[in-house]
Amino acid sequence: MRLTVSVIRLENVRKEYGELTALDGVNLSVESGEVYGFLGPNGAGKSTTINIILDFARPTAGTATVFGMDATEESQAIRDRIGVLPEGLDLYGRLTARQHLEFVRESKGVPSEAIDFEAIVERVGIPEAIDRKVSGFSKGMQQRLALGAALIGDPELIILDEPSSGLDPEGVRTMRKIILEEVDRGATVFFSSHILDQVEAVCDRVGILRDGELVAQGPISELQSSMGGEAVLEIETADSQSGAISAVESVAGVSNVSTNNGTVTVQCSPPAKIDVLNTIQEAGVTVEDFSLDEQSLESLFMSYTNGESAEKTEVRA
Amino acid sequence: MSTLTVAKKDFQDAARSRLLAGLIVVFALFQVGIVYWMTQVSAGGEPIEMASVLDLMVIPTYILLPIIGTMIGYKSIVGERNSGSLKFLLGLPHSRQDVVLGKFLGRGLLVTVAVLVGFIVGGGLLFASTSSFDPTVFVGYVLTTILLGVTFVAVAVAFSSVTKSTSIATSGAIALVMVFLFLWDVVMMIASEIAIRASLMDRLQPGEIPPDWYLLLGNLNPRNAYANVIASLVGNSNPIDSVFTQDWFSLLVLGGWIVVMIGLALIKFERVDL
Repeated sequence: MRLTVSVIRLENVRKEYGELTALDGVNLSVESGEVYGFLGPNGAGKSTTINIILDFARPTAGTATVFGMDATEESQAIRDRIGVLPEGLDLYGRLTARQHLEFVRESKGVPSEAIDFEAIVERVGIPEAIDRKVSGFSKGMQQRLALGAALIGDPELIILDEPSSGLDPEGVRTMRKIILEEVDRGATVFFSSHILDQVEAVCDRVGILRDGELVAQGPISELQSSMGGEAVLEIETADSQSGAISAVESVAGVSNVSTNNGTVTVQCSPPAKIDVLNTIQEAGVTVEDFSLDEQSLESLFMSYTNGESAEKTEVRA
Repeated sequence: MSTLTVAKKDFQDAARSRLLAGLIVVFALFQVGIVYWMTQVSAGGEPIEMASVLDLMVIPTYILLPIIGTMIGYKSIVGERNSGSLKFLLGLPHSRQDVVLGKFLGRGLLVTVAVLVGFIVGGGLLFASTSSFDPTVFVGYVLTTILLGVTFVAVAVAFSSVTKSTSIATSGAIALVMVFLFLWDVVMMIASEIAIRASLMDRLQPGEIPPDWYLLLGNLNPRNAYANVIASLVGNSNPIDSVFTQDWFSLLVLGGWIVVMIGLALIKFERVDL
């Protein structure tokens, strides 16, 4: 029997800095091959969590493992298999981009013939800067270089702390493209962000951190349904849809169906929306167009990070 | 291996610093200046004994080199910690030990280069203008001077590894230089004064040899240990017959500072949150 080991696993991780509790019993797991978005407002403890995973800080209590190895005890072996883009990054201003890449290559013990530095800078979009000193780089260029450096040696896990900081929109697109390419290669990607649309576009699962506690973890769609968030589908049909109504009503996750001329309005849980569309078509009704009003990750995030229970109470009052 | 990778990167990076290049130039100019003054001006172009030139170099060297060594080392780790590049460095598969040892080796090599450049230029001039150039003494002098520079680099790197901000590191570096160049002597004066008042020792008469504890305390300062080794190298007879002023003990003091300081840094830096 083969046991699957989580790539990253945090169990009851606590971190105190003097009087301040930065992390208060965080449980988190990142599985092999997924893109995990680590969300939370600034100051929620995202960087502290990443610092513990990388052994930049030691947990006060609890355990953190990466590839099943203890994050504190076996940090060097762990870091041999991961690529890191740290937050608030600064590189060596007096060295060139090529010297940085060479240093990373040497540090990771990758043979020099196995690596093409030109291809790396090309991939991250700074091909012209390879032999320039980093002191002349913009924040975004440094970020791109560091991303390129993090990919050296095809790491099994890539950890990106606020990767889009300092990047222009084109840089953010490059970052997203590279993340998806790396996952296709078989890598696991863990990245933190306080900007949501980037997470929504690439993540398989997200974890939401608030005040040092992980308040939610799971696929975005699951989090939406657990929040009671419903999708509203408006489907325009060409034919009479009477025959389809009852079929749609019986689809799991559908809570209400109404019709108005050629438009069918369906309220359902987000995962049910595909079933709804399929059911209508199977009933012989041609769908001409449809629109979707879904609870966005933004509102989901706001409700989690602002305290959902208080909000619910207000609505009922 | 990982230590050497860090050391190499650090040397590449630090060697490009203008401040450090300036220090090397200052040290070289100062070596050349002394040799020139001694051989050309003071001796009026007459041949002069190498030993007396080297002997005169000791005091300026042991004032300048602690400053240079401290300046080379004091920002080595805290500077990276403050800027954030330490997270880039430790995101790679290096241990905390690799960072401390790599920094020490990189900066130690840098001070070695600074001393060598100074002595190659100064030594060349010395060789050309003295009748008694003794390569053995000269090499011994250079090696001992390198050891002094490396000792101060070790102290500064160790200090840099336990400091959290660059501003503390700067005032700390000044304090370190003050301690070794000035405060140490003050402490010794106070200690002997206390000992005299407490009737533990008599006030020293000229030519009298101080008690062992006093010699030990004095020679624990790497600067004094260095001066003692140089004195016997250039053939100055040492009137004091004590274990604590022997060459081997002085060299042990210099090596001991390196081992103890780097050892403490390794232990402390291993556990610190970045």
